[in-house]
Amino acid sequence: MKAFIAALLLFSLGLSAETAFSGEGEALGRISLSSSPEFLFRKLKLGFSISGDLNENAAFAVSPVLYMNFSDEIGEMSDISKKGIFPETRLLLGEAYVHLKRFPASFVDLGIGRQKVTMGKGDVVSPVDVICPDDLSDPLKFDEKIAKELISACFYAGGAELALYYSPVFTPSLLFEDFIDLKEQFKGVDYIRDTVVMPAGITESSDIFAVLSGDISSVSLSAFYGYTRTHTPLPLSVTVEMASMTSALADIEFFFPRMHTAGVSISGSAGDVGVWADFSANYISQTEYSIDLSSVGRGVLDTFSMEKKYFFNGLAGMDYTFEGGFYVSLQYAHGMRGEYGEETMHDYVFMGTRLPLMNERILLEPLNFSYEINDFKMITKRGAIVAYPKATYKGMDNLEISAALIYVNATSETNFNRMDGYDGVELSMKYYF
Amino acid sequence: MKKFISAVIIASLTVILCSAAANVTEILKKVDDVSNSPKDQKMTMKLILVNKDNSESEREIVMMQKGADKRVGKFLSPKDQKGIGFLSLPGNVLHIYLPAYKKIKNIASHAKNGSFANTDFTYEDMEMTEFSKGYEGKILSEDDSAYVLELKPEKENETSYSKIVITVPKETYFPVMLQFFEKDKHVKTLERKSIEKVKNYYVAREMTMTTIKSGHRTKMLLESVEFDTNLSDDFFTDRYLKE
Repeated sequence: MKAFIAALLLFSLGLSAETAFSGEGEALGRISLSSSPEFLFRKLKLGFSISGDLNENAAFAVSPVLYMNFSDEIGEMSDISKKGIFPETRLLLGEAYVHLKRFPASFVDLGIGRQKVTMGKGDVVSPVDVICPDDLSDPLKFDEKIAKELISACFYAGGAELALYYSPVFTPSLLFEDFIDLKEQFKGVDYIRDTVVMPAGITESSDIFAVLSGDISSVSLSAFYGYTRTHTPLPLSVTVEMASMTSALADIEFFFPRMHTAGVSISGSAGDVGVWADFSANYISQTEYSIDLSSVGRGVLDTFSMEKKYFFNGLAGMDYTFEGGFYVSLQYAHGMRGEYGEETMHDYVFMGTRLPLMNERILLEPLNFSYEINDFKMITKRGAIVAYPKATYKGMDNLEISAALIYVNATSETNFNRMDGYDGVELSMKYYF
Repeated sequence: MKKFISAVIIASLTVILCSAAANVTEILKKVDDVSNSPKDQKMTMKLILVNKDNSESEREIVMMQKGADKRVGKFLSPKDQKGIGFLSLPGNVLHIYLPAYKKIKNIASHAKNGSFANTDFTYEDMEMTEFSKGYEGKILSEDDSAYVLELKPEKENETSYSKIVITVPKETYFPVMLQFFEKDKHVKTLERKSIEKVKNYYVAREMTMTTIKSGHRTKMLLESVEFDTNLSDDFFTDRYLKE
C-alpha cells in the first residue's frame, strides 16, 4: 500500500504542471514559573506542503513534517558526546494523497493515500472524530490528528454527500509518556512488562466508515457509521508471576478491540447564536480480560476494562460574536479523545474567547479554559481546570508571535492531572512561507 | 375659501411627494440595473489593508457570484490564509472552510457583520445589494451631475446598517460613494474609482472602504472580471469549498 502511494505521488509530481510549495515553521517553548524557572518543553516544527493540479480533475498533496524536540538531559560526560546537545529529530509524513475529482463519474471524488479526515462538528475537538487517530503526545494540544492511509470515495447528489472511507492499515493514537500509569495500577508488583498486540493481517487491520451529510435550510446534518478499533489500548490479559522469592512480575498484554460507532452531527444557528452538536453510540467487541495469578497460587480472575460494552459520547456547543468582534464559544463534551467506557469517561466544559484589536494585528484570548468534571456531585473537589490565556501579535503577514500563560489545577482522579506541573509560560512563533 | 386653499396645498404637496418618491424608486431601479444585472460573475481581487500609519498588507481572493444571493470565494494569499473559503447561499447560509482543520463551519447570520478577512469590509458588504428592494429612499440633494440619496432599510431587511447615503452620477447611475451609518452614526465610507464598462456592466477597478473611527482603510483592486459565463451551480457547494 505504502509503495503504491509513493509511486502514485512520484507519478503525480512528475506530471504536475502547476506545483505549489508552501509550509510553516514553528518554534515553541514552555517555561515553568517556579522559583527557578526552567524549560518544560522546547520544540521546533518545520512543515512543508507540496500540492498541485495534474489536470483539472486530479490533484495531489504531500506534507512532510520535521519535528525537533530539545532535551536538557545532560547528566554525565557521555551525554554531551552522544545526545544532549542535539535535538531529537523526527521526520513524519503528514498527508500524502492523490485527489481525483469527478472521477470516474462527475458525481464522484476519489482520494487515495494518507489523509486527515474529520466528521464531527465540534469546535477544535470532538470525541466522535474517530476516523483518524489522535496525536496525544502534547496534552495541551487538543486538536492534533494523525493522517491515516485511506481510500475515500465521495458521492454527491443534489445537496447531499455520501463519503465512504476504507483503511487497510490500523494506526493507534500517539500517546504521551505514562498515558496509562501501570505502576499506579499494579501497586505491590515489583516488575511490570507489557506487550501491545496489534491487529494481524489486512482484514483485522481494516477500518470502514460511512458519512452521509447534507443541509436542510440553514442546518447542516450528518449521520455516520464506523467499523473500527479503539485507538488507545485496553488490557487483554495480565499474568502475574514470581520473579524471585520476594518479588512479583506482571506481564500485561494490551490490544485494540473492535468498535462499532454510529452517530449524528448537527450545526446551524439559533437566532444570532451559532450552535452545534455531535452524538455517537459505541459498542466495543471485547471488554473482558483475565488476571492469571495461578503461578502465585491464586487461580485466574475474570474482570473487565469496561462494565458495559456500549457507551455514548458527544458534545454540544454554541458561539456568539459581540459588537467589536469579541467572539465567545462554549462547548460541553461528554467523553474525550482516548476515553472509552462510561466509567472512564469524564465531562468537560471548554470556553474560548477572541478579542481582535488594531484590525486583528493583536488577538487576545483572555478566557480560554477547559474544566474537567469527574463527579457532578463534587465538581470542585474532583475536577480540574486548565486555563490558557493567550495573546498573539500578527503585525506582519504570515508571522504570528504568541505568549500564553498555562495554569493547571487538577485533583488526582482527573485526566488533566497528567498535565500537573505544566504551569508556566508558553512562547511560540509561527511563520508561513 | 381658506379650506379650499388648504386642500389645494395638501393635494399639491401629495403630488410632489409622490412624484419625488417615484423618482427615487426609478433612480434606485436604474442603480440596480447597472450594478446587479449580470447573471453571474467571476473576479480576482487584491485587497490592500492600509493602517493609520500607512503600513500595508495584501490579500488575494478569487470570488464567484451567481444571481444576487449565491457567492463563493477562496483566498489565494497570504500563505497563512491560503485555502480559506466562504460560501454564502440564500436563507442567510454562510459556510466557512478552514483548511487547517479540514472543517466546514456554519456561521450564524449576525456574524455576517463581522470583518471579512480582517478588512474594513464585512461579509454583508461583499454581497450584492439591491437598493430598489428593502430600502426606503429620499433625495437629500441634487445637482447637474449627481443625486445624493438617503436609504433606510425596511423592517424585513436584515442589514446591520441603519442608513446608507449614496452618491449616484446621473450619467452612469453607478454609485461612486456609499456612506454607511449604524444607529445614525457615520461608520464607514466606500469610494469607487476607475469605473469602466465591461460587457454592458459598470465595474469599479478600485474601491476603498474607510472605517471612520480607526482611520483604517482597505483598497480592493479588481485584477480580472468575467461576466455571464454560465457558472455552474457546482461552484456554489461545500464540495467546491473543499477542493
